[in-house]
Amino acid sequence: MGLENYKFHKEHTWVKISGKSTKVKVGITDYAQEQLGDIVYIELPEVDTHVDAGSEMAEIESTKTSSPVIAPVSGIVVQINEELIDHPELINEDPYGKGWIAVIEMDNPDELDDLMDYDEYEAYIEEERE
Amino acid sequence: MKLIVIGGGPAGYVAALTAKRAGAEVTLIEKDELGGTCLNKGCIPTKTIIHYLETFNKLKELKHGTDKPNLDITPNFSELMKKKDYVVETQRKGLYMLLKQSGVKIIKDEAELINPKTVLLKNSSEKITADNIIIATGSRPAELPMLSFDGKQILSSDDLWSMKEIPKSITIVGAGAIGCEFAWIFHLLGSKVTLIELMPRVLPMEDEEISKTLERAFKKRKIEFYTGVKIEELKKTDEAVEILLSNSKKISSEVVLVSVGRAYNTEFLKSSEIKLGKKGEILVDEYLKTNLEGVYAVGDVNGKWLLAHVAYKEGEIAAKNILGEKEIMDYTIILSTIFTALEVSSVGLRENGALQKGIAIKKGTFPYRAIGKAHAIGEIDGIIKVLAEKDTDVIIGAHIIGAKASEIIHELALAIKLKAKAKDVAELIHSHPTLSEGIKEACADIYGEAIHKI
Repeated sequence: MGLENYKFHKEHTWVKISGKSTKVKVGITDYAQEQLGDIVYIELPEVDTHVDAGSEMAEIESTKTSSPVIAPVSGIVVQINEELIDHPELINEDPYGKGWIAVIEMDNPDELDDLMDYDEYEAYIEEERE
Repeated sequence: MKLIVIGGGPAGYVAALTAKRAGAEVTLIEKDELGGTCLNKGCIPTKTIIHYLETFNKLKELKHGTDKPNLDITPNFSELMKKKDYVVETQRKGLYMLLKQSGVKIIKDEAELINPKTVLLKNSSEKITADNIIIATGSRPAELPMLSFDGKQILSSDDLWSMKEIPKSITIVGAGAIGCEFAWIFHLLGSKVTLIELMPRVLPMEDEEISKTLERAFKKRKIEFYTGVKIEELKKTDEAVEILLSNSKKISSEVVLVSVGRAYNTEFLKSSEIKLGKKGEILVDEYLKTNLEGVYAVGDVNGKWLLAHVAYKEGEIAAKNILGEKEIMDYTIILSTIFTALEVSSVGLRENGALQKGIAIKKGTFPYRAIGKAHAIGEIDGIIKVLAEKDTDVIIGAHIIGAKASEIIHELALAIKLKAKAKDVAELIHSHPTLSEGIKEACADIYGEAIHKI
C-alpha cells in the first residue's frame, strides 16, 4: 500500500514518520475523506500553536457536514499546507499525499506507540463500518 | 391636542402618523431629509448596494449550468450610487405623500427646544408651541479622539455616500454591525479590506458561535480581520493612512472608516433642562417620557436600541401615551439583523447571556449544509441555533447566520412571544424545500430528534 511509514489515530487521522525526525506530517485518512464527502473548506491551525493528541487541531467543512480534525500526536505546528486554502479538494483527491494538513514537531515521540499501523487501522474501520 | 415631532426618521414619522390618525394636530420638523439615517444613509442604501453586489458576485461564482461560467461583472460605482439614490428617493417621496395625505404638517427647518411647550425654528426665527413634544432627532457616527473625521482619509459611515471612487484599500475600525456590513460591501466592490476590533471577536454583541461562523466566512473570502487589538499609532501621508496595531501588525490603506458606535443628536436642546445620560442620550422612563412634562424621546436619541424597527415601535407608543394611553415600551423581544458576508439575525437570549442570568438552557443547532434548499440555492454556509429553558422547553433565544436569516427568524421571534416550546415548532410541518426547515430541525435537535442531522 505504500503506507508503511504511516501510523493511524482512531479519530481517522494519520502521521507520516520519516526516519528518526521528530517532525511528522499529519492528515486525515482516505476513510475519513470518503465519509465527509466533497470538502469545501479547511480551517487550518496556526503555525507555532501547540496541539494536544486527541483534541481538535483543525476543522473541515464538506458539502454534507463540518467536522473537527483530531491531532494524532501532541506538539507544535511548524508548517501548514497552505495549498489547501484555495484547494481543499486535495484532501479528497490525495488524502495521504498532497492533502496533508500540517507538520508537527512532536513533544514526545513515544506517543507514536499509541497509534495503529495500517493493518490495525484497516481492521478498526472494518469494525466501524459494521 | 397639538403635538410637535422633532425629527422625521423612523421614530418621528411613525409618532406623527400615529398621533395624527388618533386625532391630534401634528407638526413634524425635519432639518434634512425625511426618513432619517435609516432611509438616507443606513439600512435602505446599504441593502440596495448589497443586493446588487451580491447578485454580481453570485454570477461571478457560478460555475455550472451556463455557457458563460464565472461571468466577469465589474461593479460601476456611479451607476450603483444612481440606483441607490433612485430607491431612496422613491421611498422618500412615498413617505412625504403618506404624511401629507394623513394631514401632518411638515416644516423643513432646524428646531431648538426653548421650553417643554415651545420650539424655535432657527431658519425662520419663528416660535411654535404645542401641548406635547416628541423628540426623535436620532444619532450620528461617533468620533474617536485619535481618529477624528476629515472627510478625505478618515471617514464616517455618512462620508462614504459622497465617495466618488472605490478605494483600493480600506481599514475599518470597529467590527460591529456597521463595520461588518461595510467590510462586506467594500470587499464586493473590490477593495482590499482590513477590519480591526478591540473586543476579542467580530460582532461581539452576538452569540459566540455566530461570531465564529462569521469569522470563518471572512477567512474564506480573504477579508482580513484582527480582533482584540488596539491602534497604537496612526500616521497620515498623502497617499495612505498607516496604522500600527497593538499586535505589532502594520496596516496601510487609502482610507479608514471609523465605525465604533453612534453619538446622540442633542445639541438642539441647549437651554432646556432635559436630563441626559452618561453617553449623552436623552433619559426616558418606561413610557418614553423625559423628565420634562409632556416631552417624550424616541428612536436612537434615547440610547436604548439603535434600530429602525425599535424606533417605529417607540414612535407608536409615545404617540399613544400622549393621547392618554399608558403603554409600556417592552424591549424583551428585539430582533437584530446584520447583512454581511452571511446574514446574521438574532432574538432573545444568547448562550452566555443565559449563563450570566443563571438560566439553565437546552440548545439545538442545525447547519445550513444539511438543508436541501441551501444546496439548491448554493448557500450551504450557516447555522441555526435555538435556546430553550431547560425546565420548561420554552424557547428563549434564537441565533441564525446564513442566507435569508433576517427573513426566516421571525417564526422564532413569534415563538418567543407566544412562549412556545421547542416541541411546538419541531412538530409543525414546515414547507419543503425551504431554509425554514432548518428551524424545525434545530428545535427538534433540542430533543436529539433532528432527522437530517449527521
